[in-house]
Amino acid sequence: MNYFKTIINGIFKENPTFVLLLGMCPTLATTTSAMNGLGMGVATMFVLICSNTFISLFKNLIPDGVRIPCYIVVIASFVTALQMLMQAYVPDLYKTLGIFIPLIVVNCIILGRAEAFAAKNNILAAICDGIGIGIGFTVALTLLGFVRELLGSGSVFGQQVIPSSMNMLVFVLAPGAFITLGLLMAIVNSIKNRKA
Amino acid sequence: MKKLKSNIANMAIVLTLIAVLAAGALAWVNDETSGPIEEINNAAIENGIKSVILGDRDIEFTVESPREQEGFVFHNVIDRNGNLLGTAVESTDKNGFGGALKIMVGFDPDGVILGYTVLEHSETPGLGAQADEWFRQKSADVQEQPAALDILLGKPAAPGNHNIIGMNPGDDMMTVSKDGGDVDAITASTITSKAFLRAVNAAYKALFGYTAADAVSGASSQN
Repeated sequence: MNYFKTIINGIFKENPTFVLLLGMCPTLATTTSAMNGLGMGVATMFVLICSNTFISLFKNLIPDGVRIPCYIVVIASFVTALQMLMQAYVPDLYKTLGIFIPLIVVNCIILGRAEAFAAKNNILAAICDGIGIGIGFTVALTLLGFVRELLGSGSVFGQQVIPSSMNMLVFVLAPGAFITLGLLMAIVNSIKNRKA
Repeated sequence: MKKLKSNIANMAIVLTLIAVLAAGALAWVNDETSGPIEEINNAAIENGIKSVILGDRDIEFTVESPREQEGFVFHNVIDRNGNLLGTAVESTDKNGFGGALKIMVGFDPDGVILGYTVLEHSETPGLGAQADEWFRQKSADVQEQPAALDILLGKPAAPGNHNIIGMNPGDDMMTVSKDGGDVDAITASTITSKAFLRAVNAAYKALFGYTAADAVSGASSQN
């Protein structure tokens, strides 16, 4: 098993947002700015790596019949721990992302990777998969947030670049999220098709 | 090691064990973090009181122990001679655009607004989330551009007033201009603005017993 390949796989070939179309709810909800997208991506990556590690480690101890409840308990615990740690040690990030953190529990990327990858592979491969998918998700969210922030609020990572009178508010709101996601997906797909 | 069989005993034991372990781990994390979290929250309240009552003024002050009443929290701030400088009120409106909006607003003894700060909110970034700054700007300082439609129609840009500092909810109509009030709502965020002003009015009412907006909304009891 080529670990490096597993990581790259998660970023490009199986990018959770643009290719697997997993975890759409947090994707659309949190990407109102590039910074929020980045923060959500990193938080998700942390939980993903932890849960992948744990589930891969104990995959033989968890009977198939109760695997889903077990995974959910594990994931929810990591998310709750992360929320408390963020609240205590990075209060500023928590203030902007706080309400989205519990959303990670229901992020199907994490349950999906636990089921599809971590439960079938050894611990190192599972960690690599967590890193790869996590980076892929973070890149996608940051990109989405970047475009929406630029068009919707006229700023890049909080720095105003376009006067606020020229903002297209729709991009900060939900419809803009769908439009941006669709266009970005089209671009990614056309690049992928050209290569193949 | 072979995978455990899915019989009822195995399943019950494993799930229980994982749940117990998770609960134990979370209890430990909670124990470790509850101290710092409380410190941060207290510091936020303390800074909030200082900024909404004193602003940039540098005077010696003490904060009396908070008094809670019907969901509001009052912090009386007194100077070193024991005179009341003002009262900071924590007030929450449940109907912001994204959920509850919790603010702290400071009144001087006559009810004039000295300052405010947003403590907790779930408003849209770039829109409603501007509440933290919007209601404190002086109209003259605002680099507001006239809306494109207004230029087309030849309407001059009306100088907006969305600075609530210095207003007195007992005399001024602290509602959005759409509702006949004296405050301009945040562009494209009327719901947030209304929630914010409701919280300010509620805080004033809890402290002084009445507001100017009451008289009007009482007459047209719909709102």
